Amino acid sequence: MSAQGEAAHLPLQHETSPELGLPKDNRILGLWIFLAGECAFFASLIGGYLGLHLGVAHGPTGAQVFDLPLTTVATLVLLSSSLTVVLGVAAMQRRDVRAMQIWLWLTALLGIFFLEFQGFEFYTFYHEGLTLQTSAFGSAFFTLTGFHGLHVAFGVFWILLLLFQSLKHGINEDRTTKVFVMSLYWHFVDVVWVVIFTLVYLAGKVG
Amino acid sequence: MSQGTPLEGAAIERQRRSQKALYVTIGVLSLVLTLVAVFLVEIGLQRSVVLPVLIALAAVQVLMQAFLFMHLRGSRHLYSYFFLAGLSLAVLIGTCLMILIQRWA
Repeated sequence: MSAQGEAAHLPLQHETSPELGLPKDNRILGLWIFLAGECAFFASLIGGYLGLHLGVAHGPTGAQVFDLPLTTVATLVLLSSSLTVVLGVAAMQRRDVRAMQIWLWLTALLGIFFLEFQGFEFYTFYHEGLTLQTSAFGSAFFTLTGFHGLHVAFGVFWILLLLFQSLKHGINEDRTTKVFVMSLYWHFVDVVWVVIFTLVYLAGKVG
Repeated sequence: MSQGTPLEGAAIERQRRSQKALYVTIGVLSLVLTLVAVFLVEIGLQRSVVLPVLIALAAVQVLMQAFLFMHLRGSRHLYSYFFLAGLSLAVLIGTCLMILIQRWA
C-alpha cells in the first residue's frame, strides 16, 4: 500500500486525543517517565558543571574561550528544529505524509548542522588549550555538552530511521505514535540545550 | 471510517490551522527570546541584574516548549505530573550538587 493510501487509514481526530488528535499510547507515558529520569541525569551534569566551573587550574576560563555568536547560531538552529518537528507532527495529524516527511528531513538536517557546530567548537577549544584533562572546568564542560551532543546524534538517527520506515512502508497508527514519541524526545533535547546555553554559555560570559 | 459532517470537518480544519499558526508564533518567539538573552549579555549589564533575567527567559522558553510543543496542554494530567516531578527533581539534584561541590572542592 502506498504511503498516501495507508495515510487514509490513520485514526481520526475523535478516536485519539479529544482536543489535539494525538495518539494515546503507553509508549507516550513511558517516554515521559524516561524524560523525568533524563531530567535528573542532566541536572547532575549541570549541577556538577556549576560547582566545578571556577576550577580552571592553568587552563582558559569559559569567558575566554566561549564564542557567543557561534553558539548563538547553533542554538537558533536547534530551536528551529523544534519548530520543524512540531510542524511535522501537525502534518502527520492532518494525514499529509509528504509534508511530514519533508519537515522531518529538515529537522534531521538542522540536527546535523548543530552537531557540526558542536564539533567545530570542540576542535577550536582543543586548539585554545581546553581539553577534558586541562581542568575541572574542562572536564565538566566537555562531559555536559558531549552528553547533550550524543543525545542530539541519537535523535537524528531516530528521525532518519522513522523517515526510512515511512518511505518504505508508509505510515499507520502504530508509526504515528512512534513519530510523536520521537518528537517529544527531540523537544526535550532542545529544552535541555536552552538550559545549557543559559547557565553555561551566557552566564559564563557574564562573569 | 467516517469523516463526520462537512461542518465538523471545517471546524477541525480551522482548529488545525490555528494550531499551526500557534506553533509558528511560539517557534519565532523562542528564537526572539534567545536573541534578547544574548543582547542582554553583550551590552554588559551587571551579573546580579542580568542573571535572574536570563534564567526567567530560559524558564519561559522551557515552559512554552513543554506545554505547547510537547503538547502537555490538552494531554493527560499524568504526563504533566511526570514532567513537573522530573523538573523538581532536576532543580533539587542540580542545586544540591552545586552546593556540595563548591563546599568541598
